[in-house]
Amino acid sequence: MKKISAKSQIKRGNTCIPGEDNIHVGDEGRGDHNVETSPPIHLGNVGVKLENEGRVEGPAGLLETVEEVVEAPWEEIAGPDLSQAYVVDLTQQFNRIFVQTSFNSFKEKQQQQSGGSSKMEGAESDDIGTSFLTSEQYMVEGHSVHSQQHEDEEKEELPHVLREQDRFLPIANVARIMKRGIPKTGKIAKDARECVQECVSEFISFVTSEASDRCHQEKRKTINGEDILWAMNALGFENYVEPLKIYLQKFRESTKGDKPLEGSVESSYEVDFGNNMATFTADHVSQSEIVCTYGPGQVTQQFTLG
Amino acid sequence: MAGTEGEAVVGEELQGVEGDGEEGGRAGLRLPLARVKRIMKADPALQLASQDAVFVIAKATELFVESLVEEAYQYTRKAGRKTVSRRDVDNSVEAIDALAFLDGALDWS
Repeated sequence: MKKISAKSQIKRGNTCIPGEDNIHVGDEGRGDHNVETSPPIHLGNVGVKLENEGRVEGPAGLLETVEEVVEAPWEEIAGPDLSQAYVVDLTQQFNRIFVQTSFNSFKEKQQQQSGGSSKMEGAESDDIGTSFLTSEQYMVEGHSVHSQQHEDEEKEELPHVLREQDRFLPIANVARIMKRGIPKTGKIAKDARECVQECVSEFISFVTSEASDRCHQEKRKTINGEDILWAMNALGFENYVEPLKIYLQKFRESTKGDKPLEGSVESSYEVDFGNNMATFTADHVSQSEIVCTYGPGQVTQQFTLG
Repeated sequence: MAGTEGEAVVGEELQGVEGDGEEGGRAGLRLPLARVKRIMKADPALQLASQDAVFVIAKATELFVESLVEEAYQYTRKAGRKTVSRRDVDNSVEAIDALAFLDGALDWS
């Protein structure tokens, strides 16, 4: 009786009810990345609140009850990965942790598709991890806010997304570039966009492997801009070479002035902040582009700095 | 790029509006370098790539996309349409020697 009333007290209190939508504890359990505060705090709050409401129950009794209430849903929750997200280390480790949740499913998918695709072949888990981290696969579409990553779908959605994002550039970016090639009145069919998206990845691989071969022949390990230009020449894209030289020059000039952002695109992880409400990752994919990923819904925005 | 233009681009990005592809990032780059790099790294033979290399490929990719679409659009126009279809892209690939590497590499289904 007393316990029941305590429970109903909790309900009316409308806070910290595990399993309810608006409760962080419950949310955490259910897979929502709403990493608020840790459960004990909620429990404490509940206890205090109820006391304030003048209930007769002693704190211990209430807490016990609350704990009971709280415990049960947690047991039901099958979101093991998310517990990792609770780690409050919001430094460089953050990305690994945040990413870890999707990494596991990513790895699964990798293994699943390892037969088909030669990508990631031979990569050790570390490489997978590294590549994973350097990828933006928690981005669905390149730039715009994608809200389809709702709590329920998230886990199922992610593996699908990962597979595509592994191999292709964001279709939105591709589409935007495509539009530059046609008059404003023109439109581009979805399948055409996808087709070009695939072509693009092929193109990149093609040119890269050519450049890489050359590097290898010359006993060098790092391919540089010149190698790429040479490869383009060799592969029939010589008309790109001159414009590319100019762009490269511009790029070099523009990167010179960026002291804070200097460095390769590998060192691109920067955790701006992770507060209780959201996880925020700013990924400097280049000196001028930052991809920001907001958890829990994995909202992603890409900012291009002028 | 000055702040104004940068802001305009950012604003555009945030609203999800696809503009006319004005100058975007560094040297007008509109593709995420990290993603480009990722695709490059998928090649096991590749060991290291300098930042320049990644940029050049990214930029070359843009040029590639533009030219490919321009070509495809020729077919679109010929057919009296305004929407570039996959068929148009396919035709371009077949017509251009340099694009032979795409033959068979794409899923034609």
